[in-house]
Amino acid sequence: MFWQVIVSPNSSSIVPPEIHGFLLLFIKWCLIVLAIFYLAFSGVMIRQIQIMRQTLITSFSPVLKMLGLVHMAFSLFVLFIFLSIL
Amino acid sequence: MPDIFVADDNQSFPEPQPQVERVLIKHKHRPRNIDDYSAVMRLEKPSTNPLKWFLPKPVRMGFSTQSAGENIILLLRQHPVSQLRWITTALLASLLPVVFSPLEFMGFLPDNYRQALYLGWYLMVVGYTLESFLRWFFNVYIITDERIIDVDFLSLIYKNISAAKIDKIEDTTATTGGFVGSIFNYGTVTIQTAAELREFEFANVSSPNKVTSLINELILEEEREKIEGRVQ
Repeated sequence: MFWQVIVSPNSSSIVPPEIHGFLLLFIKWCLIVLAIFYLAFSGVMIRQIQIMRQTLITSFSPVLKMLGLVHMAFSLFVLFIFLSIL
Repeated sequence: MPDIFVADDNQSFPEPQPQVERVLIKHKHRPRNIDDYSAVMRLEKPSTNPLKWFLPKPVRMGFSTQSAGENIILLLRQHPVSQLRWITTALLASLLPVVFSPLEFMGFLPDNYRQALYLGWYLMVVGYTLESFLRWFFNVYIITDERIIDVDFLSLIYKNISAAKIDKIEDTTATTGGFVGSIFNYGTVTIQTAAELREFEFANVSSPNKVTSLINELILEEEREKIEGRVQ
Protein backbone atom coordinates (compact mmCIF):
# COMPACT_ATOMS: atom_id res chain seq x y z
CA MET A 1 0.00 0.00 0.00
CA PHE A 2 2.86 2.34 0.85
CA TRP A 3 4.47 1.62 -2.50
CA GLN A 4 1.13 2.21 -4.24
CA VAL A 5 0.77 5.59 -2.58
CA ILE A 6 4.28 6.61 -3.64
CA VAL A 7 4.07 5.49 -7.25
CA SER A 8 0.39 6.10 -8.02
CA PRO A 9 -0.04 9.00 -10.44
CA ASN A 10 -3.47 9.99 -9.17
CA SER A 11 -4.24 12.78 -6.73
CA SER A 12 -3.86 10.60 -3.65
CA SER A 13 -0.11 10.37 -4.28
CA ILE A 14 2.01 11.89 -1.57
CA VAL A 15 4.94 12.17 -3.93
CA PRO A 16 5.38 15.05 -6.39
CA PRO A 17 4.95 14.09 -10.10
CA GLU A 18 8.64 14.59 -10.91
CA ILE A 19 9.67 12.05 -8.24
CA HIS A 20 6.97 9.68 -9.45
CA GLY A 21 8.42 9.97 -12.96
CA PHE A 22 11.89 9.33 -11.59
CA LEU A 23 10.68 6.14 -9.86
CA LEU A 24 9.14 4.85 -13.09
CA LEU A 25 12.38 5.63 -14.90
CA PHE A 26 14.28 3.77 -12.17
CA ILE A 27 11.99 0.72 -12.54
CA LYS A 28 12.37 0.87 -16.33
CA TRP A 29 16.17 0.80 -16.21
CA CYS A 30 16.18 -1.92 -13.56
CA LEU A 31 14.03 -4.07 -15.87
CA ILE A 32 16.27 -3.35 -18.87
CA VAL A 33 19.43 -4.23 -16.95
CA LEU A 34 17.78 -7.43 -15.71
CA ALA A 35 16.77 -8.30 -19.28
CA ILE A 36 20.37 -7.77 -20.46
CA PHE A 37 21.65 -10.08 -17.71
CA TYR A 38 18.97 -12.60 -18.61
CA LEU A 39 20.06 -12.49 -22.25
CA ALA A 40 23.61 -13.32 -21.12
CA PHE A 41 22.21 -16.17 -19.00
CA SER A 42 20.35 -17.58 -22.01
CA GLY A 43 23.61 -17.46 -23.98
CA VAL A 44 25.33 -19.45 -21.20
CA MET A 45 22.44 -21.91 -21.33
CA ILE A 46 22.96 -22.47 -25.06
CA ARG A 47 26.65 -23.13 -24.46
CA GLN A 48 25.75 -25.53 -21.66
CA ILE A 49 23.29 -27.39 -23.88
CA GLN A 50 26.12 -27.77 -26.39
CA ILE A 51 28.41 -29.28 -23.72
CA MET A 52 25.63 -31.52 -22.43
CA ARG A 53 24.88 -32.74 -25.96
CA GLN A 54 28.52 -33.69 -26.41
CA THR A 55 28.52 -35.54 -23.11
CA LEU A 56 25.33 -37.51 -23.66
CA ILE A 57 24.42 -38.21 -27.26
CA THR A 58 20.70 -38.78 -27.84
CA SER A 59 18.26 -38.39 -30.67
CA PHE A 60 16.41 -35.75 -28.61
CA SER A 61 19.41 -33.40 -28.40
CA PRO A 62 18.57 -31.35 -31.54
CA VAL A 63 15.19 -30.54 -30.00
CA LEU A 64 16.92 -29.27 -26.85
CA LYS A 65 19.26 -27.14 -28.93
CA MET A 66 16.21 -25.66 -30.64
CA LEU A 67 14.56 -25.01 -27.25
CA GLY A 68 17.68 -23.18 -26.09
CA LEU A 69 17.66 -21.01 -29.21
CA VAL A 70 13.94 -20.28 -28.82
CA HIS A 71 14.57 -19.31 -25.19
CA MET A 72 17.34 -16.94 -26.23
CA ALA A 73 15.12 -15.44 -28.95
CA PHE A 74 12.38 -14.94 -26.35
CA SER A 75 14.77 -13.17 -23.98
CA LEU A 76 15.96 -10.94 -26.85
CA PHE A 77 12.33 -10.19 -27.71
CA VAL A 78 11.61 -9.26 -24.07
CA LEU A 79 14.62 -6.93 -24.03
CA PHE A 80 13.34 -5.17 -27.16
CA ILE A 81 9.88 -4.94 -25.66
CA PHE A 82 11.32 -3.37 -22.50
CA LEU A 83 13.27 -0.88 -24.60
CA SER A 84 10.30 0.01 -26.76
CA ILE A 85 7.21 0.07 -24.52
CA LEU A 86 8.69 1.32 -21.26
CA MET B 1 95.02 -98.66 -29.36
CA PRO B 2 91.77 -96.93 -28.79
CA ASP B 3 90.86 -95.75 -25.29
CA ILE B 4 88.06 -97.46 -23.57
CA PHE B 5 85.06 -95.13 -23.42
CA VAL B 6 84.27 -94.14 -19.89
CA ALA B 7 81.00 -92.35 -19.29
CA ASP B 8 81.14 -89.09 -17.38
CA ASP B 9 79.30 -89.41 -14.10
CA ASN B 10 78.26 -85.75 -14.07
CA GLN B 11 76.72 -85.87 -17.51
CA SER B 12 72.95 -85.62 -17.25
CA PHE B 13 70.54 -86.90 -19.78
CA PRO B 14 67.15 -85.30 -20.28
CA GLU B 15 64.25 -87.11 -18.74
CA PRO B 16 62.08 -88.78 -21.33
CA GLN B 17 58.99 -86.63 -21.81
CA PRO B 18 55.60 -88.26 -22.05
CA GLN B 19 54.08 -87.94 -25.47
CA VAL B 20 51.26 -85.51 -24.82
CA GLU B 21 49.49 -83.74 -27.58
CA ARG B 22 49.62 -80.00 -26.92
CA VAL B 23 46.29 -78.41 -27.51
CA LEU B 24 46.24 -74.67 -27.93
CA ILE B 25 42.97 -73.18 -26.76
CA LYS B 26 42.16 -70.06 -28.64
CA HIS B 27 39.67 -67.71 -27.01
CA LYS B 28 37.80 -65.36 -29.19
CA HIS B 29 37.98 -61.83 -27.75
CA ARG B 30 34.39 -61.20 -28.57
CA PRO B 31 32.26 -60.00 -25.64
CA ARG B 32 29.08 -61.93 -25.13
CA ASN B 33 25.74 -60.33 -25.70
CA ILE B 34 24.07 -59.02 -22.56
CA ASP B 35 21.03 -61.25 -23.15
CA ASP B 36 23.29 -64.32 -23.00
CA TYR B 37 24.16 -63.83 -19.35
CA SER B 38 21.70 -61.37 -17.82
CA ALA B 39 18.29 -62.63 -16.77
CA VAL B 40 17.25 -59.05 -15.97
CA MET B 41 18.06 -57.66 -19.39
CA ARG B 42 16.68 -60.67 -21.24
CA LEU B 43 13.20 -59.57 -20.19
CA GLU B 44 13.69 -55.96 -21.26
CA LYS B 45 13.11 -54.65 -24.76
CA PRO B 46 15.55 -52.16 -26.31
CA SER B 47 14.45 -48.63 -25.48
CA THR B 48 14.01 -46.13 -28.30
CA ASN B 49 12.39 -43.27 -26.36
CA PRO B 50 15.18 -40.97 -25.09
CA LEU B 51 12.84 -39.19 -22.66
CA LYS B 52 12.25 -42.21 -20.45
CA TRP B 53 13.90 -42.60 -17.07
CA PHE B 54 14.63 -46.35 -17.30
CA LEU B 55 16.26 -47.15 -20.62
CA PRO B 56 17.45 -50.73 -21.01
CA LYS B 57 19.66 -51.36 -24.07
CA PRO B 58 19.08 -47.82 -25.39
CA VAL B 59 19.08 -47.40 -29.15
CA ARG B 60 20.97 -44.54 -30.82
CA MET B 61 22.48 -43.25 -27.59
CA GLY B 62 26.05 -42.76 -26.50
CA PHE B 63 28.31 -40.74 -24.25
CA SER B 64 31.51 -38.79 -24.67
CA THR B 65 33.92 -41.17 -22.91
CA GLN B 66 32.51 -44.32 -24.48
CA SER B 67 35.25 -46.57 -25.78
CA ALA B 68 35.08 -48.68 -28.91
CA GLY B 69 33.12 -51.85 -28.35
CA GLU B 70 31.63 -50.63 -25.09
CA ASN B 71 27.86 -51.06 -25.04
CA ILE B 72 25.36 -49.21 -22.89
CA ILE B 73 23.28 -51.75 -21.05
CA LEU B 74 21.16 -49.49 -18.90
CA LEU B 75 20.71 -45.74 -18.75
CA LEU B 76 18.93 -44.28 -15.76
CA ARG B 77 17.51 -40.91 -14.83
CA GLN B 78 15.81 -39.83 -11.65
CA HIS B 79 12.19 -40.92 -11.42
CA PRO B 80 9.77 -38.12 -12.49
CA VAL B 81 7.94 -38.33 -9.17
CA SER B 82 11.13 -37.13 -7.48
CA GLN B 83 11.07 -34.12 -9.82
CA LEU B 84 7.64 -32.97 -8.70
CA ARG B 85 9.11 -30.09 -6.71
CA TRP B 86 10.31 -28.11 -9.73
CA ILE B 87 7.34 -29.17 -11.86
CA THR B 88 4.92 -27.88 -9.20
CA THR B 89 6.95 -24.70 -8.71
CA ALA B 90 6.90 -23.99 -12.44
CA LEU B 91 3.15 -24.62 -12.66
CA LEU B 92 2.37 -22.40 -9.67
CA ALA B 93 4.70 -19.68 -10.94
CA SER B 94 2.99 -19.69 -14.32
CA LEU B 95 -0.39 -19.34 -12.62
CA LEU B 96 0.71 -16.53 -10.31
CA PRO B 97 -0.05 -13.59 -12.66
CA VAL B 98 -3.49 -15.07 -13.41
CA VAL B 99 -4.23 -15.31 -9.68
CA PHE B 100 -2.94 -11.88 -8.78
CA SER B 101 -4.14 -9.82 -11.75
CA PRO B 102 -7.80 -9.58 -10.55
CA LEU B 103 -6.54 -8.34 -7.16
CA GLU B 104 -5.06 -5.26 -8.82
CA PHE B 105 -1.85 -5.94 -7.00
CA MET B 106 0.05 -3.81 -9.48
CA GLY B 107 -2.79 -1.40 -10.21
CA PHE B 108 -0.60 1.54 -9.31
CA LEU B 109 1.66 0.88 -12.30
CA PRO B 110 0.89 2.03 -15.86
CA ASP B 111 -0.41 -0.65 -18.24
CA ASN B 112 2.79 -0.92 -20.26
CA TYR B 113 4.80 -1.54 -17.08
CA ARG B 114 2.40 -4.26 -16.01
CA GLN B 115 2.60 -5.99 -19.38
CA ALA B 116 6.39 -5.78 -19.30
CA LEU B 117 6.49 -7.29 -15.82
CA TYR B 118 4.21 -10.16 -16.82
CA LEU B 119 6.33 -10.82 -19.88
CA GLY B 120 9.53 -10.79 -17.81
CA TRP B 121 7.93 -13.10 -15.25
CA TYR B 122 6.93 -15.65 -17.90
CA LEU B 123 10.42 -15.47 -19.41
CA MET B 124 11.88 -16.38 -16.03
CA VAL B 125 9.39 -19.24 -15.60
CA VAL B 126 10.36 -20.60 -19.03
CA GLY B 127 14.05 -20.29 -18.14
CA TYR B 128 13.60 -22.02 -14.80
CA THR B 129 11.60 -24.86 -16.39
CA LEU B 130 14.09 -25.36 -19.19
CA GLU B 131 17.07 -25.31 -16.84
CA SER B 132 15.40 -27.82 -14.48
CA PHE B 133 14.45 -30.08 -17.37
CA LEU B 134 17.99 -29.98 -18.78
CA ARG B 135 19.40 -30.90 -15.38
CA TRP B 136 17.01 -33.86 -15.16
CA PHE B 137 17.61 -34.97 -18.73
CA PHE B 138 21.40 -34.87 -18.67
CA ASN B 139 22.06 -36.06 -15.10
CA VAL B 140 22.24 -39.73 -15.97
CA TYR B 141 23.59 -42.94 -14.56
CA ILE B 142 25.00 -45.28 -17.18
CA ILE B 143 25.78 -48.96 -16.82
CA THR B 144 27.84 -50.40 -19.65
CA ASP B 145 29.32 -53.87 -20.04
CA GLU B 146 32.62 -52.46 -18.75
CA ARG B 147 31.87 -49.60 -16.35
CA ILE B 148 29.37 -47.66 -14.32
CA ILE B 149 29.27 -43.94 -15.00
CA ASP B 150 27.68 -41.10 -13.07
CA VAL B 151 27.18 -37.89 -15.08
CA ASP B 152 26.41 -34.87 -12.91
CA PHE B 153 25.64 -31.38 -14.12
CA LEU B 154 25.41 -29.68 -10.75
CA SER B 155 24.78 -26.26 -12.24
CA LEU B 156 24.93 -24.64 -15.64
CA ILE B 157 28.68 -24.26 -15.43
CA TYR B 158 29.79 -27.30 -13.41
CA LYS B 159 30.07 -30.82 -14.77
CA ASN B 160 31.31 -33.95 -13.02
CA ILE B 161 31.68 -37.39 -14.61
CA SER B 162 32.73 -40.31 -12.41
CA ALA B 163 33.33 -43.84 -13.61
CA ALA B 164 34.37 -47.16 -12.11
CA LYS B 165 35.12 -50.43 -13.81
CA ILE B 166 32.75 -53.29 -13.10
CA ASP B 167 35.54 -55.42 -11.58
CA LYS B 168 36.20 -52.67 -9.01
CA ILE B 169 32.70 -52.91 -7.59
CA GLU B 170 32.67 -54.43 -4.14
CA ASP B 171 29.13 -54.06 -2.92
CA THR B 172 25.73 -52.83 -4.08
CA THR B 173 22.76 -51.81 -1.97
CA ALA B 174 19.24 -50.90 -3.06
CA THR B 175 17.21 -48.69 -0.77
CA THR B 176 13.53 -47.95 -1.30
CA GLY B 177 12.20 -45.65 1.34
CA GLY B 178 9.00 -43.81 2.00
CA PHE B 179 5.41 -44.14 0.94
CA VAL B 180 5.81 -42.56 -2.51
CA GLY B 181 9.00 -44.50 -3.26
CA SER B 182 7.30 -47.80 -2.47
CA ILE B 183 4.24 -47.00 -4.58
CA PHE B 184 6.17 -45.87 -7.64
CA ASN B 185 9.00 -48.37 -7.12
CA TYR B 186 11.95 -46.02 -7.08
CA GLY B 187 14.85 -45.69 -4.70
CA THR B 188 18.56 -45.25 -4.34
CA VAL B 189 21.25 -47.70 -5.40
CA THR B 190 24.52 -47.33 -3.52
CA ILE B 191 27.59 -48.90 -5.07
CA GLN B 192 30.80 -49.36 -3.08
CA THR B 193 33.90 -49.57 -5.24
CA ALA B 194 37.64 -49.96 -4.94
CA ALA B 195 38.06 -47.18 -7.48
CA GLU B 196 39.14 -43.63 -6.74
CA LEU B 197 35.58 -42.63 -5.99
CA ARG B 198 34.63 -44.98 -3.18
CA GLU B 199 30.90 -44.68 -3.43
CA PHE B 200 28.48 -44.18 -6.29
CA GLU B 201 24.93 -43.22 -5.57
CA PHE B 202 22.23 -43.65 -8.18
CA ALA B 203 19.60 -41.49 -6.53
CA ASN B 204 15.85 -41.91 -7.08
CA VAL B 205 16.15 -44.44 -9.88
CA SER B 206 13.33 -46.66 -11.02
CA SER B 207 13.37 -50.38 -10.07
CA PRO B 208 16.45 -50.31 -7.80
CA ASN B 209 16.28 -54.08 -7.27
CA LYS B 210 16.61 -54.70 -10.99
CA VAL B 211 19.61 -52.38 -11.09
CA THR B 212 21.43 -54.22 -8.29
CA SER B 213 20.62 -57.60 -9.86
CA LEU B 214 22.02 -56.40 -13.16
CA ILE B 215 25.20 -55.12 -11.54
CA ASN B 216 25.66 -58.46 -9.76
CA GLU B 217 25.24 -60.28 -13.07
CA LEU B 218 27.82 -58.00 -14.67
CA ILE B 219 30.28 -58.66 -11.84
CA LEU B 220 29.83 -62.41 -12.29
CA GLU B 221 30.32 -62.10 -16.05
CA GLU B 222 33.47 -60.05 -15.50
CA GLU B 223 34.86 -62.77 -13.23
CA ARG B 224 33.91 -65.40 -15.80
CA GLU B 225 35.73 -63.42 -18.49
CA LYS B 226 38.87 -63.38 -16.36
CA ILE B 227 38.74 -67.12 -15.73
CA GLU B 228 38.11 -67.94 -19.37
CA GLY B 229 40.74 -65.48 -20.56
CA ARG B 230 38.27 -63.30 -22.42
CA VAL B 231 39.47 -60.14 -20.71
CA GLN B 232 40.08 -57.40 -23.23
